[in-house]
Amino acid sequence: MSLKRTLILATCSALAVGCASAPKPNATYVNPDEAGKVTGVGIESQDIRAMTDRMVRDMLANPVIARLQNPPYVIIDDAYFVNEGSQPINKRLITERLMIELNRAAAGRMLFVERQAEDMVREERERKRAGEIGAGANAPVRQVAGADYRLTGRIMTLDQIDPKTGRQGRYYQITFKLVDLESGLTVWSNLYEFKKEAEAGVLYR
Amino acid sequence: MTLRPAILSLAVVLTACATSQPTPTRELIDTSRIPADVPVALQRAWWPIVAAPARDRVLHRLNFALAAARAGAFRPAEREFDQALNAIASVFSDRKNAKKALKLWYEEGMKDFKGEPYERAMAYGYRGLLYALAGEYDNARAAFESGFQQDAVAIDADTVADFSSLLYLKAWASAHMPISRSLAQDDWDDYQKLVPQSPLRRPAGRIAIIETGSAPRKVADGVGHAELVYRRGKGYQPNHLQTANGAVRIALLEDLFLQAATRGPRFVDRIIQNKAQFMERSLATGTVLSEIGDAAWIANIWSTAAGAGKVGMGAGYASDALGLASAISLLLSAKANPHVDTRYWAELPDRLYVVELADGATLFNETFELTYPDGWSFSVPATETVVVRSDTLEWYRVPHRFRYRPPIVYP
Repeated sequence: MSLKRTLILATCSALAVGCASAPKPNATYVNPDEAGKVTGVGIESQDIRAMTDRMVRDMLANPVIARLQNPPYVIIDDAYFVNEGSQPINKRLITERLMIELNRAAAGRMLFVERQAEDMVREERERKRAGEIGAGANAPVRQVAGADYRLTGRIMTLDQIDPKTGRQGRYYQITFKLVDLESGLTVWSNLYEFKKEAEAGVLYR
Repeated sequence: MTLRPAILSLAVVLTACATSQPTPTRELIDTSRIPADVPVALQRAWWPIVAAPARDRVLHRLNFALAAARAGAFRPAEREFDQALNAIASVFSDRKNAKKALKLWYEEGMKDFKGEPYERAMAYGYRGLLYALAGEYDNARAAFESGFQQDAVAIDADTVADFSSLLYLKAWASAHMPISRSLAQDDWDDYQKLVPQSPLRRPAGRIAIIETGSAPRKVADGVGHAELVYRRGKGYQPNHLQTANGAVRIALLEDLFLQAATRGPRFVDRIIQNKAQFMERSLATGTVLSEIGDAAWIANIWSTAAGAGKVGMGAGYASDALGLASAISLLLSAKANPHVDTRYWAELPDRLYVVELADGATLFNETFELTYPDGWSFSVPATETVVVRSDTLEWYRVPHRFRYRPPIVYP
C-alpha cells in the first residue's frame, strides 16, 4: 500500500514539475560580432561589421582624402556596388553601415550626398519655392549638391563543392573603390576577403 | 503466461516512443497574426506557416510564396522565399528533428523540410525571378547560381549539376548588369558547355517563362515504404506547348519531373535501407522464435497431460522466454520506421518553357496550345493564365484547372 502511494506521489510530482517549469524563451540576444548557432557559407553579421569597420579606418587614413582642403562630397550607396557572387544579399547592409560609420568618424571632413533621396529633396525644394510651405532654418542653396567621389565595389565569390560529401567552401572577395567623378581616377581602394566552409547534414545531401 | 504483463508494458513503452506529432488539418484562421500585405485570397495558404508543425514550415513558406508571386503579391512572396531560403542555406549546430529522423523509430519526415535538390534549386530560381522583377539583376543572378549549386551533390556523379534552366536564367540576368559586361559572356559560355545542342540564343533582352502541369510527386515504395520514387504530377501532364498559330518559338527550359527522378539515390537512402533491413530481420527473427515458442508450449501441454511434471515445467519456462523474445523482436520490427519523406512542394509546375521576346513583343495576346502524350490538345488564351509582366520578363502559369484527363475507353 505504502509502495503504491509512494509511486503515485512520485508520478504526480514529476508531472507537476514538468508542467510548472518555466518556459524557455524562443528568442535571445546574441553578439553580432560572433558566429551564432545558425551558420552557413553566406556573409554574416560579423563579416559585415568587420569589413565596414576596416574600410572606414582605411578610407579616413587615405592621404589623398586627408590632404583635401575642403570636405569632399561623396556618394556611398549600392547603385554601383554590384553583387557578382553566388549569394543574394541586401547590399545596403554593407553600404549603409559604411556610410553611417564614415559620417560619424569623419566628423565633417567628408560630406555625403544622399543621391537616392533626390526625389524627396527635389519635392521639398519645389514646395518651398512655390510657397506651399515655409523656408527652413538654413539659407536656401541654389542647387542640389553634386558629388566629387562615388563608391563602387564588387562582391565576388569562388565556390567549391565536394559532390560526395556535400562540403561547400566559398571564398569571398569584396572590393571597394572611391572614384573621382570628374577625372574617373580611383583615389582609394581596398578589399576584404574571407573563406568559409560548411557541410550539410546527411539528411539534406 | 507470467511474462505477459511485461510484454504488454514493453509494447506500451515502445509505442509511446514512436508516436509523432499529428499535422493539424483545417482550423480557424486568426487573421490578426497574418501580415497585412498578404492578400485575403491567400490568407488560407499563409496560415499553415504558423499553425503547422515547425518541421513543415519551409514547405508551407514555399507553397505560399510561389502562389503569392504568381498572384502579384511580391512583397510577402519575397519575404517568405527569403525565410525559406535562410533555413535551407543554414547549417544548424544542434537540430533535434534532424537527429530524430536518423533514429530507427522515426520516419525521415520528422526532419525539418528543406526539400530535395530540385525543390531547393527551384526555390532559388523563383527568388531570382522576383529579384529580376524588382530590377535587382545582380541578386537575381546570385540566386540562380545558388540554385544551380543545390544540384551539385549526389552519389551518382553523372546526374549532378545539370539544372540548365538556372544557368540560362543566370546568363539572362547578367545580360542586364551593365557594370559587369564580361560576366554575361562567361555565364552564357557556362550554359552552352552544359547544353551544347540548345536551340536557345544568348538572352539579352526580354523573355517569357511559361509553366505547365503540376509538381512531381514523391511516393514511398518498397518494403516498409523505404524507397523514394517520383511520379509525374497528379493528372495527365501536357508534354508539348506552342502558340495557336505556331509563330512563336517556344523552347522547353526544364522538365522538373526528370530533374527529380533521374538524380539517383540520396545519401540518406543508405541509412533508411539499414532501417528497413533491421525491420525485416526483426520480423523474421520474431516469427521464428514465435514458432519455436509455440512448439515448446505444445510440448508443455503434452508433458503435463502425460504426467511428466518437471519436463512440462521446463518446456513451459522455455515457451515463456521464447514468447518474450519473439514479442520483443516483433515489436522492434513493428516500431522501426524506415518510411521515406514524401512531403513535396505541390505548387511547382511539371515543365518550364521559355520564349525570347523581341523588343515590344508580348505573349499576352497569344493563345497557348497544350498537347498531351495521346495527341489530344486544347487551347488556353494567355489572358486566362496567371500573368506577371515587367519590362524584361513575362511569367505565365497555365493553372491546374486546365488539367486534362484522358477519356476512359472501355473494350
